[in-house]
Amino acid sequence: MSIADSNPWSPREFKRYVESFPTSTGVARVVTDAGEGYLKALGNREGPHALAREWLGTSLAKWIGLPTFDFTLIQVKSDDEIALGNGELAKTGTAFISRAEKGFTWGGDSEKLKSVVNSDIIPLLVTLDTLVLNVDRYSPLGHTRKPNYDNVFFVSLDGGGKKFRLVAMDYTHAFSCGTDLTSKIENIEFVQDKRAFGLFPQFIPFMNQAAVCAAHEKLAGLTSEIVSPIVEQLPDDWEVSAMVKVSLVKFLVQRADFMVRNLQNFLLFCDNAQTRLGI
Amino acid sequence: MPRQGLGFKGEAHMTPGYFSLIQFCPDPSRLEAANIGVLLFCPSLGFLDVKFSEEYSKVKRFFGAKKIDFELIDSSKESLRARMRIMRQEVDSLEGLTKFIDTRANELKITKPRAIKINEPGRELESLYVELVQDNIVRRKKSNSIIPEIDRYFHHSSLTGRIRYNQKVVIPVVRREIKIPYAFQNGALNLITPQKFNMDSQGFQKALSLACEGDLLQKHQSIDGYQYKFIIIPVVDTTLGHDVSEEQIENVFKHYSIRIVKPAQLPSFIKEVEEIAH
Repeated sequence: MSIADSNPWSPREFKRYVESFPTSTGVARVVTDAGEGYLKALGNREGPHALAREWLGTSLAKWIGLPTFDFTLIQVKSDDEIALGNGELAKTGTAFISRAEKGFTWGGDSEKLKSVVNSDIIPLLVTLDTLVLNVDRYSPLGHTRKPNYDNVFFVSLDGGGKKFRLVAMDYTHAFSCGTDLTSKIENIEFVQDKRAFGLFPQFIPFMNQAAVCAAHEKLAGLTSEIVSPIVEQLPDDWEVSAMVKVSLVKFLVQRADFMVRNLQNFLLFCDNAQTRLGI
Repeated sequence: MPRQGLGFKGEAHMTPGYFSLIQFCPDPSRLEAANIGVLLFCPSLGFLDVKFSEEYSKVKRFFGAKKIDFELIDSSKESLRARMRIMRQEVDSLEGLTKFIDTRANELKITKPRAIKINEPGRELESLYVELVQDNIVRRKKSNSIIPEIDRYFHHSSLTGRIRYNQKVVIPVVRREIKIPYAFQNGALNLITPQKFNMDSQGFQKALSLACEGDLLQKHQSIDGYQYKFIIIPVVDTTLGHDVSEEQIENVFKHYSIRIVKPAQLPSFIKEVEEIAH
């Protein structure tokens, strides 16, 4: 059973277009037979590998225990007219769709993080972003990419109120910085990249030692038996070759292993960062 | 021109800018929306700010109170305000702002920017809010209850971004939620309340009640860990009543160590706020 199959949300058909947004993948909000969702489809500006990256990142997020939007794959049919944010129509084929939920994106303020009921997941979020080299939340040292607060989402709790739940979203720029996935991903410079990804300065106070260690302990369980089925689920029309799939599995397993072995350095980094902040 | 950050001072000539409406749109399929705020951007002056409605009478009328999560709207507004603070340093062109606007995917929508000529951005933001957002029904009630002369001080452009309006606080011990017209952060959260007092027993009772509330606030921290400071701007109506003196009313607040800022002291007080508020 795939990770996607293990969640209860299973839209099968596009019913109605709502709106789309000029993001990198031109995501479209649509109504399906199972409610509303955000669709990333073939025909987007970034190409089919953007969908592959999204699938891999979100599946790994679910595996590691991060809250995600319900997500799955859905087929865009030839008579489904879905305008993407780039002005093109979604192409026929497999699309990635996540369920629409009420909430809002982060304003970048530390205060809002206090209203979150699951701030304990922050070290897990950073760990996963670091694992998959996700530059599109908070890019590491040496990167010129601006912080992307839109990729930190607060979901309303059932019943409303002033508390919210932090959700991991958008992995379209994981692994390869928005470029196509290639076998180069298993090169040592990527496997052993020591930088922290996704570590907003506002997240640093939450990076306590116990939580970071627990996140890395989870990483220690990332074996090829876990990764291979996720990679194998990549649909053929997303054009990830067999060779690249093999490289992805190798990369993830080796990188997880590297991060576990590098834990002490990472803890020291977090500690120094906290000291600089006066924590 | 160097970025002006949160405020803007001077320059009497008209400058090109852009404004957008901020709308609450709970169902993007229906595209029905209520204006709840306005955004003003003046790239050449480095001005970018938003003003939101602090009440939801229009939203309730349009969509029905029961279906709406008002806490979510409040939090979304806070997040957008926080984003504006960051964007002031980053966005210096219409293109940059438009890119941000076009990618808003939740219940708060921002309309496409429209051109405007601006004299003083802070005042212009306020005018746009009154003209395009403020609920007409509430507007009629507002002119009776607010003290307009004092309100103008706290909407001065030099305080843009420094003053919070209609700050909700919960009075400790009694756990009653109240709205404070003006507040600013400076280590403590300073709560400023202008209040009319008649010079009679009713006015005195009002003073006592406010003083007690202020005392409770100052003695206890908020649940978020803020220390409170309560500041009263007493507007004593000497034409109404004569049993109680202005001094007696002031003494009530002094007894509870509540700071008094008299209306005549407002200019220097505003200068103080400009310097210490963040």
